[in-house]
Amino acid sequence: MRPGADPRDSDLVAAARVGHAWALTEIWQRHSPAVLGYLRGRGVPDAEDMTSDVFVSVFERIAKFHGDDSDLRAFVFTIAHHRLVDDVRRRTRRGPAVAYDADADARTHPSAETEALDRLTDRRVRELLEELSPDQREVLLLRVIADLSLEQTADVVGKRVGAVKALQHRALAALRRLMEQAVSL
Amino acid sequence: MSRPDDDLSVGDPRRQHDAAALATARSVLRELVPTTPPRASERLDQMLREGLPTPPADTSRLGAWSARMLSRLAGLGVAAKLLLAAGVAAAGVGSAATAVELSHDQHTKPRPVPTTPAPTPTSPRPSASTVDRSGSSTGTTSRSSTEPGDDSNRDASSPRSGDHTSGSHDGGTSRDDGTSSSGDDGGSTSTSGSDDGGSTSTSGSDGGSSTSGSGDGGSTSTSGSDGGSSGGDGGGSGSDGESLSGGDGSSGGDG
Repeated sequence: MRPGADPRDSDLVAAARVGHAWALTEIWQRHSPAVLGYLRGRGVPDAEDMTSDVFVSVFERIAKFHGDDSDLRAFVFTIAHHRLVDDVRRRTRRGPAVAYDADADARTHPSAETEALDRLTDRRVRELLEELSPDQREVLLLRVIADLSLEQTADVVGKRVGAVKALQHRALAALRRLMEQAVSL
Repeated sequence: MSRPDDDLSVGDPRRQHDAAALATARSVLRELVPTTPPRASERLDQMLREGLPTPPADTSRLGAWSARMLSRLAGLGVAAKLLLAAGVAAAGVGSAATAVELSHDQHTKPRPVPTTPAPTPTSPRPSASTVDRSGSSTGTTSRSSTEPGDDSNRDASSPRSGDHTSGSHDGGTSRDDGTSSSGDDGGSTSTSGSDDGGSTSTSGSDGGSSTSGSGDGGSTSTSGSDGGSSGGDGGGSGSDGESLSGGDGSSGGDG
C-alpha cells in the first residue's frame, strides 16, 4: 500500500524492494533533477541519458542498499560519480565528439538578446564551473547540488574529509572571484 | 539543502566567508537543476512502469547453492576450468576402472564371505584376536584370514616380496613386517610350496595372512583363495587356496 503523501526514502526503498513500481517512480522524481544538474555541471553532453542510466543502476542495486534517507542520496550520487568517471574514461579513449553548436561558433556574433539570455541560463553557470579544477568542481557540485555532507562527499570522491574541506574552500574562493570578474565586465 | 554549519563554524571569519560563498554558489548552481524530472529512457521507463522483479521467495537452499556454484564456476578462468575438468575426468576414469575390476572379480569368482574362524580343536592356530596387530607376537602367529582386505592392495611383486619365507617369518616386530610377510607369501610360498594361502594369493596380501602356517588347515587355504581372487591372476589358475602348488604362488608374485 502506498504510504502518505511524502514518504521517506527508506520507505520508498522498502516498497521498491517488494516490487512496487510507484516507489521507483517516486525515487526517480525526487532525485533525478539533482542528478541531472550534477551531470550538467560536470559537462556531460548527454546528461539526460546518463541520468536514466544512473537510475537504472540504482534500481538494479537497490536490493543491496542499507541505510537511512540521506544515505540513499549518497548512494545515488556515488553511482552517478562512478558512471561519470567511466564516461570520462571512455570519451578520453575515443576523443571528444563535438556536435556543431551555432551558439558556440565564434565566427558568429551573438545578438544582445542571446547574450542576455545566456546570462540567465545554465550555460553561464557551466562556464563558471569550467574555470574550476575538476576536483573543486566535483566537490562543489556534490556539496551544493547533491546536498551531501562533507563525510558523504569524501566517501563519494574517495578523499579524506580534510581534503574535501580544502577543495571546497578553494572552489568557493575561485567561484567568488570569477563572479566578481563577470560583474565587473 | 546542505548543512552549512557542518564544517563552517560561526566564530571563524574565514569560514563565515565560506558560508556566504556557499549560499551564493547554491543560488548560482541552482540554475543547473531542472524543476521537473528529465525524460526517462526506454529501459528506465519500463522499470518505472513494472517495478523491480521480485525474487521467488520459495527458492530452495539447494537451488541457491547450485546457482552460486554455477556463478563461481562461470567466474573461473579458462585454465582453472581445464584443470577442474581434468580432475573430474581422472576421477571418473578411476572410479569406472574400479567398478569394472570389481564386477570382473565378481563374475569370475564369487568372493567368499570372510568369516571369523573360531578356534577349533582341529585348527589350533591362534586367532587374530589373540595376536597383537603390531606384530609383537612372535613365532608363526600372524593375522588371521579374517582380514582378507587389509593388504589386498599390496603389491606382491614389490621388491620386498620374497624377502621372507613363509613359516619362517619371525613374527616381525612391526605390522609392516607382518604384512610384508604376507606379501611375500606369493613368492615365498612358491619356494616352500607348502604354504596354502600364500600360494594362491596374487596380491600376496591375504596369503600373507596365512603365511605362518605351512600347510596348515583349511582356514588358511580360504584366505589364500581370497587373496587369489583379489589378485585376479592367481585366481585364474583354478588351484587357488586348495592347491598347494607353488605355481599359484608365483603367479601371485607376479601379480
